[in-house]
Amino acid sequence: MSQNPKLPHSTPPQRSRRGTDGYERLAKGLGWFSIGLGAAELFAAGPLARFIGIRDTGRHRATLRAFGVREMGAGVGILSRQRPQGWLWARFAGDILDIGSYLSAASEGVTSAGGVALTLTSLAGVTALDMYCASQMSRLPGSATADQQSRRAAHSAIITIDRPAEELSGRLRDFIRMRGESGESRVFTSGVQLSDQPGTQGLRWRAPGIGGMAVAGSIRFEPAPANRGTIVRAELDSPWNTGAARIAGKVFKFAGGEFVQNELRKFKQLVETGEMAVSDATVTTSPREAQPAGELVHA
Amino acid sequence: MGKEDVQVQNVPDPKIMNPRDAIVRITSTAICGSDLHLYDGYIPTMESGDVLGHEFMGEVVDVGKGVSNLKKGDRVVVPFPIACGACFSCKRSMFSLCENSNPNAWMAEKLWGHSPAGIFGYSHLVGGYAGGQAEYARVPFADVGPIKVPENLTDDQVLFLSDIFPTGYMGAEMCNIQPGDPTAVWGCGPVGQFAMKSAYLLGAGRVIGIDRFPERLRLAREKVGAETINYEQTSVLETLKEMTGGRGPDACIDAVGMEAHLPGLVGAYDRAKVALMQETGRPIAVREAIMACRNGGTVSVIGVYGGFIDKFPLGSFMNRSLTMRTGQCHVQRYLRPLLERIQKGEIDPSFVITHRLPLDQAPQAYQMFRDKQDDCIKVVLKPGAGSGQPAVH
Ligand SMILES: NC(=O)c1ccc[n+]([C@@H]2O[C@H](COP(=O)([O-])OP(=O)(O)OC[C@H]3O[C@@H](n4cnc5c(N)ncnc54)[C@H](O)[C@@H]3O)[C@@H](O)[C@H]2O)c1
Ligand SMILES: [Zn+2]
Ligand SMILES: [Zn+2]
Repeated sequence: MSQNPKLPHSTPPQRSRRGTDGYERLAKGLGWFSIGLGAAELFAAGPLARFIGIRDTGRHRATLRAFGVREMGAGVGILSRQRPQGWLWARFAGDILDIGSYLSAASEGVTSAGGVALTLTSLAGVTALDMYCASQMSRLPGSATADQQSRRAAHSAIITIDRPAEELSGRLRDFIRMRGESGESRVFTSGVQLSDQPGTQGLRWRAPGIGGMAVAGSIRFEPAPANRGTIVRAELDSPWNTGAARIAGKVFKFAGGEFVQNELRKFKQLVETGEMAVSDATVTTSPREAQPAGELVHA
Repeated sequence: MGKEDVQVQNVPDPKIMNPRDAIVRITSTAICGSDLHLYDGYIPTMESGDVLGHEFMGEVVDVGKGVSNLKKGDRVVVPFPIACGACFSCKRSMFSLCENSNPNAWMAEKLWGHSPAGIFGYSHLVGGYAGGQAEYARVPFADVGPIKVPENLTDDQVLFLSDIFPTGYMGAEMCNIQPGDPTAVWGCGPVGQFAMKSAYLLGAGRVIGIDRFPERLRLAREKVGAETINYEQTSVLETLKEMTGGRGPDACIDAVGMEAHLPGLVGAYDRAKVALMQETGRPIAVREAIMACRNGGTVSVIGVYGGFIDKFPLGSFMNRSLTMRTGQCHVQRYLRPLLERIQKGEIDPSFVITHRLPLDQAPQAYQMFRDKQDDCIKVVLKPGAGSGQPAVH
């Protein structure tokens, strides 16, 4: 693994069978599909659960809605770019997650066998389409910069904290270690190691990650203009550049940026308010109803 | 989707989770028009079992070690947005935009670009906090939000400091009303009533309330001193022109939100679009407010919207130099000044209450308030009479 955050390079331009326009149209179609599906998941989770043949439980609805939010995000991302390969890869990662979650939901009991067959066929179809469109687009001439930009967005995080950098750099180190010990973080996992970025107040971190996929990245500080404190930027490394590892890397990195963003948010809360925000629905890692936690809290 | 299904259930009592928390034993709580958007399924990310309610007050029964300004036994009103008091937004008194109180900020960012503050009992998008239509509530950042209220004022007089009085006041304040300005308010629900009353407090010359329910229009005339338009009987745009010498009101306040009602073709168009998930609300009142507003005037949107709307008259808005201001109310900003107005007798907010019921009867209360049965305008629920708390189901 390299020590510098390395941006993935794209393969040399190739002439494609379909014209550029064709892929862009296909991508737009997938973008609108994302928005439609996302809206259905978000606003009609119950009927949708019944339609796809799984039990209509609170937990399934919660998952469907969370997926709806993600789906709409991907849709907007795809439609807002001419070459949205980064977002298409994100969709692909989402497809894999969808299939996994769907199979696990269906294993709890199926309400309509026809619904399940139809859903699995459609999921497989759309996954193949996403992967095809994303990989073709990544090969188009001129893709490199757009690709780099969207990937950077997918595995970086940024937040402004109302404190000077001198104060933050030490506290951030403590925070990352604390998160590592807590076992609650998906990126600052137990055994996380820190090193300095010579000449700056920033740092690099490397952690064993989850499921044997090590994660690493860097965090920098810069003063926010107009006395607004400090801008904290985090960047995940991209050590996965070939074959299957590359796809696994994409799946992780899509989520990775969000995980790091959530960590930065918690760090900001701790620094600015002295505590990390928890609500009745966030006391456990899986979604639950917004009721006082009572016996439900498992520390 | 659990639409229109509110039940009373027994749930565990809340506990202190963070140093700046307090636990409040609730003495009065109310149902808000915003709860109806949840009830009717217009706000996504409600889960079965979520405890509703964001307008509440009561007695402090426990405080975390970070709370020094409150002690057990204090009687407090709790503002509906949860705010840390220390972040960029809070320092600028924009408490409903607190950067640190929504633990589900990532969800809100997906739908809205950036996240507002956490809110009690108002879906997982804004935090997944258990609400105040309950016997007890956990109040985060209790050193910033709750205000102590004097014993000589009744619950009914101060309860609405938690939301609808400040909300109506902010709706009027955002219009920067100059003495004598004609002001129109869409919606004569509780929020609209306070917007009208506040417009007068801020110096408006003539206040015009728009609705279709006779009892709400009557309340606006009799208790607020407003003039009224029944939009089912007359054309709102024509009547407002008539009343303002052809110019339109300087200040136009939308106190209706995304479930606006309109008979006829336009209403059916929006209902169909909502059903097909092409838009997530019926923006009928805000469209009309824009069209009605005087050139260069201000449209203030305190009615709540959730997602995307269609046929927004941006042309009218842009070409006529209108200003739009909006937001979930920054309640903390208004608590003290409005409590003073109540103490001085400038307003008695209890004038909107039509029904007082035990908390146990929340399911009936929701239905009654939504369907305007029995001339219902505002319901206050009293815990203690029964044992459980209402939760969506
Ligand atoms: N911004 C905030 O902080 C905040 C706080 C509280 C409530 N709210 C919102 O304010 C709005 C009103 O709340 P409420 O408690 O008064 O609710 P409510 O449902 O009692 O009142 C809404 C009123 O609007 C009327 N109305 C419907 N369609 C109309 C139309 N086309 N033209 C004119 N009037 C119409 C209804 O008849 C009703 O009387 C809701 O959207 C609520 O979510 C916002
Ligand atoms: Zn409210
Ligand atoms: Zn804040």
